[in-house]
Amino acid sequence: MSRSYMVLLILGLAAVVLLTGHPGASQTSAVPSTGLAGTVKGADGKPMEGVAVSAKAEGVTITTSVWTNQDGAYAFPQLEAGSYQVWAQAVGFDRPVAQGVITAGKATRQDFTLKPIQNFERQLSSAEWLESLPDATSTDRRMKMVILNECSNCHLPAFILEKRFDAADWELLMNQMAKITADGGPPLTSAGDPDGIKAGGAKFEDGELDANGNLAGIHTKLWKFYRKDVIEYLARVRGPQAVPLKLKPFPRPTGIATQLVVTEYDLPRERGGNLFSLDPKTGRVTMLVVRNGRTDAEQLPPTPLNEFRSGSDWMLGTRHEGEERGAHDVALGTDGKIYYGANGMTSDPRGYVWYGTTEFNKLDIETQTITAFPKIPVMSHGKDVDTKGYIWGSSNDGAVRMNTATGEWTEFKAPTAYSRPYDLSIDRLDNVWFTELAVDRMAVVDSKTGEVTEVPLPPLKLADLRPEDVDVFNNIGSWDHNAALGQQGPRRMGADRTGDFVWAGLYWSGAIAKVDVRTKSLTGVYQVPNGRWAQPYKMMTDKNHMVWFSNSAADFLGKFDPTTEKFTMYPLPSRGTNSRHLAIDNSTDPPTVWVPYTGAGKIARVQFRTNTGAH
Amino acid sequence: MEFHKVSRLLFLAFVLAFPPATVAQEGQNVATIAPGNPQTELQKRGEALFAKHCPLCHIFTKQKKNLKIQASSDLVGLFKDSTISEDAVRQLIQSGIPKMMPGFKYTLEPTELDSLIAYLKIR
Repeated sequence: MSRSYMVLLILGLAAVVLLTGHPGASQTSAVPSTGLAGTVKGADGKPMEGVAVSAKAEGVTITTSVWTNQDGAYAFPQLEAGSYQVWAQAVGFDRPVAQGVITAGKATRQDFTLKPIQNFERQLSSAEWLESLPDATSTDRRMKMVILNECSNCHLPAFILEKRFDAADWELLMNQMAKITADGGPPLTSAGDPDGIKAGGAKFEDGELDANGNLAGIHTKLWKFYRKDVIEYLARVRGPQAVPLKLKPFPRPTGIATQLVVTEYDLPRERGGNLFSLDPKTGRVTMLVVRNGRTDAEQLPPTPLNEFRSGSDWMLGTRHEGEERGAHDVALGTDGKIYYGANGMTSDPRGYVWYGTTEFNKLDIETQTITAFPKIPVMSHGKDVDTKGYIWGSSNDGAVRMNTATGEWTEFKAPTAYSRPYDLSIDRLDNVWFTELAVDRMAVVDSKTGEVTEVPLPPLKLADLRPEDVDVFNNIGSWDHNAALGQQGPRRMGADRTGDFVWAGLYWSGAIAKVDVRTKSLTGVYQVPNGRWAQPYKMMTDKNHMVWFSNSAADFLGKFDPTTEKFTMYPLPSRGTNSRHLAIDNSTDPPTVWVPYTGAGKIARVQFRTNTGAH
Repeated sequence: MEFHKVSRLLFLAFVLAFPPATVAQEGQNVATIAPGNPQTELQKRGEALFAKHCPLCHIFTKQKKNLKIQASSDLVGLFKDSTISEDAVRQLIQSGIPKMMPGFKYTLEPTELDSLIAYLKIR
């Protein structure tokens, strides 16, 4: 053997990073490139497509995930050098973990073999759980809808369904819930359903009181009506002798749906500030706090999440979202940072981030200064900025417009009272759209006349409802935290600022709705694939008119192409994400999508590529 | 069940239901002692389980106090009381307390109980 060949051989061996750990993680020779790559096979030796492979370096807050292609091959983009854990995951299989050092500029190959496991119910997302519940009888099919409509807004269904109690203990928990919500607040006032008033404005005439002694509202009445059914049902399907479930995981992603790189950033648990910024380059988080009228910026120490409560190991199930300190809304700043920590957030291309649910707050990105405008007593959720520079927000009764120079505000009331206006977005004609969650309508403020008109959604036709469910729909109705069976639930939404459509996620029916801004009419309702229980949520369009949407009860990021009318459901690498908002970075090609996790303490950056098997 | 075990369980049920003064001061249901930080894998797994199954009753908030949610210990320093045994805590988590705390015997695997106990020991 020549001397030069020996040197090459030694260098080659040095380049092989030895990853060790779980028996399913095997060591093989280096691949002829740089970076971390490998293949995933099943126990039968066949390549597995659509397997999530994730890598996280020791002591850092960033997890990177890729998915295998049809050949079972995966490849990571360039990772920082460090000591890593790498794991492969697919529902129904074990989760081999490898550990080792990744060196810059060196090739690292790591192959995995996944073995099927018998009971993988805890790996299921909420939507998969609901899909897996018994559905042979009309009673069972009805109860799946009851669980979704009455329980899911405070708890992801998987969080409930992973547990098993006897009837007395399910009743005990339900009794506690009459007094307090999952996040510690009083259930009857935290979401603002009006005391003793129905959607539309009529009064409940029975004088019933809630646990706080106030006139019972929609939330309470729905909860009381379905309480007994829910206890009996949970004690039957998730009780001491739980019925055997035929688990129905969704098919693993294939083709284009595997061609993504997801970078998840652990968020610090600190929530004492007014707003937080995340630097995507470093993962560092800065807390912005207003003290005595001045905005102070404090960089927070990086704090990797407890790996057993981060959602990264699907076998550990879905988290209690109130304990995980995730992010509800995000906004992409003009400085490239992601802002979070508030609700009702939107980016302003002039260099601001707006946020707040009871007032308009403005962050000036250049000066990192927060300005709070005078409290507006009717504020609600969504916000957007029109071409004149006015900031708009949804209000209790419609929409509010504020002149940012003077602080003067004007309210534009919806034709239907007590309709639960929720999100808001402005179209290319400068008309202002908002969803009316409690009455299944969209409303629009004409920017020229100020007139507000409504676009009704079609009734949701459901089999398996009982006459009493129809009575509840007609006589109690719906609000936001829970809903009568039959409600569509247009909740979060988004207008295409360069296109012709406004889009809304239908939270209770698993579809998305399309409204033509030129005719102000509904022109399509599209059922999300595997989405009946997915709860489509925030909608945003990118510069190519692609429609992106989060799904609170399924760990997917959805894309809808309005030209082909085809969906692509991209997987997210954590379980129980409960993502309820988005931000889109149009400066990249293709655009990058940011997904905050309410249910796990992370924010994800989703980037797209053309080959999962290459760097 | 022998008398000794019964009395232990009754005592533990009392402790879980009514916070000891060292944890919650009179008129104040919010924890005054910070929980311990998990260090080992077992403790971290236990903390994850605690955060998933126990907060409704065992993490205090002012609102819970105002709404008169049933009083219970936040379990910080639980095992500093030498009269409380691991076996008794394990049995109580599994069986619950009628009308006060659900039993987790159908939900938690034995290994998960081990983790939870490991965390409670340092909480």
